[in-house]
Amino acid sequence: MFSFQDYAAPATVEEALALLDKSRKNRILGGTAWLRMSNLKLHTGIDLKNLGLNSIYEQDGALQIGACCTLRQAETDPLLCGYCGGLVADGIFNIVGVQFRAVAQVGASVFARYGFSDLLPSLLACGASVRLAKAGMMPLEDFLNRPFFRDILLEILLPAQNGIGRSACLRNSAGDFALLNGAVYLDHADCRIAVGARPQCAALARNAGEFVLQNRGSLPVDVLAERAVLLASEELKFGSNMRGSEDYRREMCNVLMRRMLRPLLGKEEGH
Amino acid sequence: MLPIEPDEYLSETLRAAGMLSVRRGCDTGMCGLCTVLVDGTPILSCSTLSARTDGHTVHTLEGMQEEASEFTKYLTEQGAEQCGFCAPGFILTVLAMKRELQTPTEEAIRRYLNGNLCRCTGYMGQMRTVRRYMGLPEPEVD
Amino acid sequence: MKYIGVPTPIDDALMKVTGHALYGDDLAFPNALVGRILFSPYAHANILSIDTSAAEALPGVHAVVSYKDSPQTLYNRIHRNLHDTPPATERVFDTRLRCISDAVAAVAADNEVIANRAISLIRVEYEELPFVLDSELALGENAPKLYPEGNLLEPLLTQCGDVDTAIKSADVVYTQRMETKMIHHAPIEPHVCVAYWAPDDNLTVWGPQQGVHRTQIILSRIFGLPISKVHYHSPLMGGAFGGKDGLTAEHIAALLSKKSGRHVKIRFNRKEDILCTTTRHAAKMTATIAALRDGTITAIDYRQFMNVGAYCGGSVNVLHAMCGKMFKVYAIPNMRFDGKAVYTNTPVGGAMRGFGSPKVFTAIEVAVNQLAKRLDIDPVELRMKNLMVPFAPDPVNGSSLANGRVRDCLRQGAELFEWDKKKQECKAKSGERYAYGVGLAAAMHGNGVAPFAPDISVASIAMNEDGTCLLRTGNCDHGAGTYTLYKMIVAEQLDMPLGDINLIHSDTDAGTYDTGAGASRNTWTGGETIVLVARKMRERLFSLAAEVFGVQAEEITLENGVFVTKDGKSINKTELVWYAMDKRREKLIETLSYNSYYNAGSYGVHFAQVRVDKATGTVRVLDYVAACDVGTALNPLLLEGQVEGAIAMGIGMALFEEIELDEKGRGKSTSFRRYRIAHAADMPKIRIHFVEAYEEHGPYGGKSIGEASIVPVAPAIINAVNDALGTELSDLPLLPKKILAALQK
Repeated sequence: MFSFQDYAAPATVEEALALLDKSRKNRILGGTAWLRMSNLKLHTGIDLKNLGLNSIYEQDGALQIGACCTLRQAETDPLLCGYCGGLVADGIFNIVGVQFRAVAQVGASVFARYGFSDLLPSLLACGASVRLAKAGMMPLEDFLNRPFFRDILLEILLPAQNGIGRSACLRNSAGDFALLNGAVYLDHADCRIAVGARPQCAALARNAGEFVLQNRGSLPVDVLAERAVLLASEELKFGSNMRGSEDYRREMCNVLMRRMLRPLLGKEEGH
Repeated sequence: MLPIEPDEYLSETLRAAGMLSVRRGCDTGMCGLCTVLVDGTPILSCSTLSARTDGHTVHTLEGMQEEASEFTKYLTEQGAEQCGFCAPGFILTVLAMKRELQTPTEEAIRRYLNGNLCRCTGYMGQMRTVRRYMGLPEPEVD
Repeated sequence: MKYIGVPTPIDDALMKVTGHALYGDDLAFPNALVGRILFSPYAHANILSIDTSAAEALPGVHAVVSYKDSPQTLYNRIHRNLHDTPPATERVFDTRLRCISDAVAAVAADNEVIANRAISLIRVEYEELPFVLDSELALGENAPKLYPEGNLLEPLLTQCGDVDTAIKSADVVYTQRMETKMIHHAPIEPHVCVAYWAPDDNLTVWGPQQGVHRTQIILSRIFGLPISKVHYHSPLMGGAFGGKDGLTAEHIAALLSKKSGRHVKIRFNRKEDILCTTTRHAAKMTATIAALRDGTITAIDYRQFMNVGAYCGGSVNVLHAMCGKMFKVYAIPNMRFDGKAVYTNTPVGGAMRGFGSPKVFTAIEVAVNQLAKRLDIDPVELRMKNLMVPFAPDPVNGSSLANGRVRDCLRQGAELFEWDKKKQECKAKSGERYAYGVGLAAAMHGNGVAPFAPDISVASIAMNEDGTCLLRTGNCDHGAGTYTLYKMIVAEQLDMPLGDINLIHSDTDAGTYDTGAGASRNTWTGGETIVLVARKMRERLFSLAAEVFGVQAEEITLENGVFVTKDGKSINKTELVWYAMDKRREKLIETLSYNSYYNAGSYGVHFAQVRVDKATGTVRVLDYVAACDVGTALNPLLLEGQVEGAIAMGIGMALFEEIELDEKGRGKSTSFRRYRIAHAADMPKIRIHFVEAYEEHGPYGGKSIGEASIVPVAPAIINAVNDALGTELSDLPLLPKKILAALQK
């Protein structure tokens, strides 16, 4: 059973960092929905609620999402809903229910790198960066590739861009975790394809994205999509868990990618 | 002010204070039974630290009787109640939905209510009630 | 009729929708402790030693119990009555652990935090034993044995006609193999109980319980107490579906209370509720169906291995019940049921909505559709040719199948569903991405436990001094509206509003005796009991009124709640009660014990339309019609609610519900994340049609619906999926990955 002895809500980032560094048994609390299911026994639970990290705002076309924003806040935020065709907001609504999403926090979801996260593929596809208290700014992809380290995630930054995106997920039943999810972002200069719940943490399929970018316009949409799907399937790792096997996931990845890519490239799915 | 432990969750605090409409159904944040409104937003009280709600307004169904009465009258008339164990969390979610969504689609309603599990009714009576409450027509088959 | 047949909301709806209804978890007692249980980490093991000293030393811990404190009485967690003697192989705590739901030890502490901490301080040395998880493998010669006499709990062979000859001489024979998995009842209220062992050795238990009397008996047996010293009170129940029948943790709470001298409450979390109560049995089945070219089905040969889990529980009864049902749907001369109930080291199988029927009919009904395909006959037509007719004799025992209207359900349901039109539409609509299909299934469930055992309900009505009344019943409402129906019946008989009827229920002290709320008895036996006792009170009131006016009872009518003579003189119930008190010095009370000797069938034919995404294998149920043989629709509003809820549960059974164990028999389905039940978004459009044909011996001609309505759901959906894809899918649940694998074959 999850427990801690002290609750602290520091007023500054510095205080929060000092508390975090004081003991390995001190932890940032995040939304506390997932922590609750752990068996962690902590000394101090550090709540970031007083650090002003609970808003989403725009600066020169770029969006900044405070780490303490809830998933519900993110999915209903007008700025985020308008960003890249609602790519980030759309990835969220499948997660459990509104009550859960009103508790779970964006920063915690990113920092914990949950494999099943429906948020990470969209953020990766958007080319998001993260700002950490100690390590500073870094691309989200780099952050996800680094081993876990103790720091405080302050903000997620989405670059100013005008492209459009699409996300998709596959679930065994409504309300369950995704057995696979993904997101694609496309504009004239970039194509980013991200796949998550493999069941490992979301990752970019760089070769596939690059291929689409190089060959769009020259190859028919069907061929382009199929080749990209194949490349992604080669470069991404898949695994098995109770929701699906490795082979099944690989195959479903092909289906999801087709369904995301083809409409973005100008071809609607048949019925 | 209610006395709390640092790591106490809101559902436990509220139940200890006699708010028994806050029910415990899954212990993992999946069933929606413990839904309460914090500043009007439906949240899982089983997954929210009590300490975090300091300075915020928490409503359980006990404190929402008047606002709930129209909807609950419909619920009863539609036979949407069976065992009743999931009712409080569901009702609070619907009340929040009504405030939040002006003219929702059928799909938007299902999405909003997807976090409230019920094992007795198949959700059908509940959905009929919600449509009536929100002023929506019955849906067609895809 | 004024009340019967009128759509009536559940009687305590106001308490429920205001959040003021109190359930087991809400009951508070002075100085009550919280009990927690340490469950076995292994599927099969011996406890070599246990050290509870650290747990006992923890401040705030008031009792720790293990096999060292346990009574050694062997018992079975569920019986029908004292003389019912199912295999008794369980102890409160044993040194031998046969599945992960076995309790190793338990603690009672001031609160849950301390109790959990104490549990983590218990040190146990285990000897792991070889285990078996599969019912077929468990019968192998070298399979690990759960009991010295072997793993076969019960073989059952029942037949009519000559099955082998019929199969040999048939034109078409189809064999369907099928597997169903363990399923969690998932009442939204997890199991909870409070026990108090008083200094005078009276043991009282509070908690949701379908069978207060039969569980009272088991507790009395375990602890060597006279029945008179065991008291069971079941409060309002937050859903049960068979999962709150018999012992779950009450005996452990009792032992903790005995040791601590305090009230002890044990509340299961969802993981424990999934893995450590009972489950719907897993089974491996084979259904062979033989037919002539013209569509005459000549034989059904059904074989199965049913996974009982580690203890018998109600499994012998489940096996016999499902066998009995199999012979009651089709008029086929040659049928055989060859079933084996087998012990394995999995969680314990028990009663769950349908009590075996969903298994047998899922296998048979899926096979019937495959047979129809091979005969090139429409599955509606094929069934019409072979279904039973009302009042036909049961081919095994010759008893009447009563007014079972399965053919009407088929005809009227197909019409409402627009079967022919939909079938064509599905073909036309299917394209590159989606395949559409339709399916149906016919099935039945019984009413009560007759003729196999006493099927007794007792009720009493006492008139209050203001003309209202107090009704006592022993039945227990799962949350489905049983009590509402009982009040409607009294209201109808005595012509009084529902609000004037107070009800005492499921309480061994204050209520009346009852066999228990299972076997679809609540409407059939319990309801008829209420009719009879209310009629007795009605007659009593009539004769009193006649006495008052010096006329014959036949000359009096009951109008708007008032007794009226032909010449217009009238007297109300309050006045009659006081006439009896003043003039006759009598309190008006009637009591009645009723046994149901009859067991009619509640039939149903369900129709489903599905859409399957061919690339992902995901299934969406789009449209659904349930035609239900209910005798009389006593309360149409709550009948509909029962059927809708059953469809949701059946969708889960068909498409995604499964308690998964790992290779060592430990639970993987530990929460609603890992055990999925239907959400609002999974539900189709539903239309429900009631076929009303008076069923004698049922209250006002009515019969059960709750269990019967889940039986045809899964096969109807599976048939629709197979229709859409041209597959022979039969391994439940039909997860997308399985569908995809079948498509790629």
